[in-house]
Amino acid sequence: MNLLQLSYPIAVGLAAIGSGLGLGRAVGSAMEATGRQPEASGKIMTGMIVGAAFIEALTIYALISVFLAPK
Amino acid sequence: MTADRIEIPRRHPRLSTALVAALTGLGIIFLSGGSASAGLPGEAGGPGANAARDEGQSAAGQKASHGDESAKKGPPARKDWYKELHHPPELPNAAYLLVGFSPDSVVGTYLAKTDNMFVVRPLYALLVLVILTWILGFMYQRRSLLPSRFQGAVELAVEGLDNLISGVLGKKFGRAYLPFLGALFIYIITLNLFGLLPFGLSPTSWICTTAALAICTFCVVQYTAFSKLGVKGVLMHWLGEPKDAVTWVVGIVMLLPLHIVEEFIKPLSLALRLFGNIFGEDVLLGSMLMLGIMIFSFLPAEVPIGLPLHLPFMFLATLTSTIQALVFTLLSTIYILMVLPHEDHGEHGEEAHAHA
Repeated sequence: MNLLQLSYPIAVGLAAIGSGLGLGRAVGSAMEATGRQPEASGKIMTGMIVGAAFIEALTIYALISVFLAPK
Repeated sequence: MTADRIEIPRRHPRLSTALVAALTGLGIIFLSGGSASAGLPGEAGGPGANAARDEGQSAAGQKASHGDESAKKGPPARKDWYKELHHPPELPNAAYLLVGFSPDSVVGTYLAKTDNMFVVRPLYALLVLVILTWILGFMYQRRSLLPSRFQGAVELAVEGLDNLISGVLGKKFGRAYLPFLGALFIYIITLNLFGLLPFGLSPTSWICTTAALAICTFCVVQYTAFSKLGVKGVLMHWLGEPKDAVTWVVGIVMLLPLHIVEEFIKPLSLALRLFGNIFGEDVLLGSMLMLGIMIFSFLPAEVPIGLPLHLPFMFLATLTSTIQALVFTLLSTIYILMVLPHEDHGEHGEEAHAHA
């Protein structure tokens, strides 16, 4: 058991912390906006999903680097 | 919902599906040449181990190298199963069945090597494509004004996609790009969800498939840019519409390289996002399945018992598959929007006029 292998989950976890904070802000704001203007929920939702995709891509990059890393 | 509200696209309804298919197939074939021998998910070994099983190896050589590797040892103890795995765990697909039934045949020995297991993904992609084209083409032939249940569902999906894409691109361009983007969405969501069927597998959990899809988007975006803006327009867009000497210098030194790099980052990030999500989801399901088997590690390996611990994650995977297909389509839409002529953004322009 290489000690280096321990760094993979830690890396993904650190990336997930940042993405979680960002996603929390994005989705929270979107829900708030939907609450204020329910008729615009479609547009808000589209923008939110695109933004969430960009945010979570960072965690996905960390995950891919774990998959591709030499064992 | 009645049928006369839906405008069924009249010219070449399946042309863009065929375009996506052809480009995907070509891309998969081209890209797989490199990565089939590289072995995508990190396998034990490296350059040395890869050199041993090169592409030029004969079938006899494969059989020999496979024979001393595993074959006739019998099943390992239940708690040692994970040591036999050289790749991340995944749900069993039809290729595993083939290996299990005839491990000594040419196909079986070829597939039993973990790298070669990836060749079944383009086959699955083709299978999905044939099924989709057949079902949708059949339904298109048999469409009627009084929709059947299935036709109603398809019309609902098409209308939803139309609203989504027209909402971003505007009515005129939305209708123009609906066939391509809609085909992309339906194809990707089917590929993603195919991995949840018994003995199915998501072809999108392989980076060659997602890269091929992203290259389709890249080609469409660049074609749109150069046909709508012209070569000069594209160059000026990349330079940031320079007016005087300072903006020319800034444009050439900073903006031009950035824009050119960005054009290639876009499909790369599209491909990596889809691949990472679907592959991660598959690995999660496989890990949970293996955990459910290894929980009974006090039993001998021959007892076929396990807990379906991966079941709750199947629902999560359904959600992820849908959202990732939606995200791929939406991002493609937005990349197309970014290269369309700026004054014709449809609703934004209309709203600006309405407010002014």
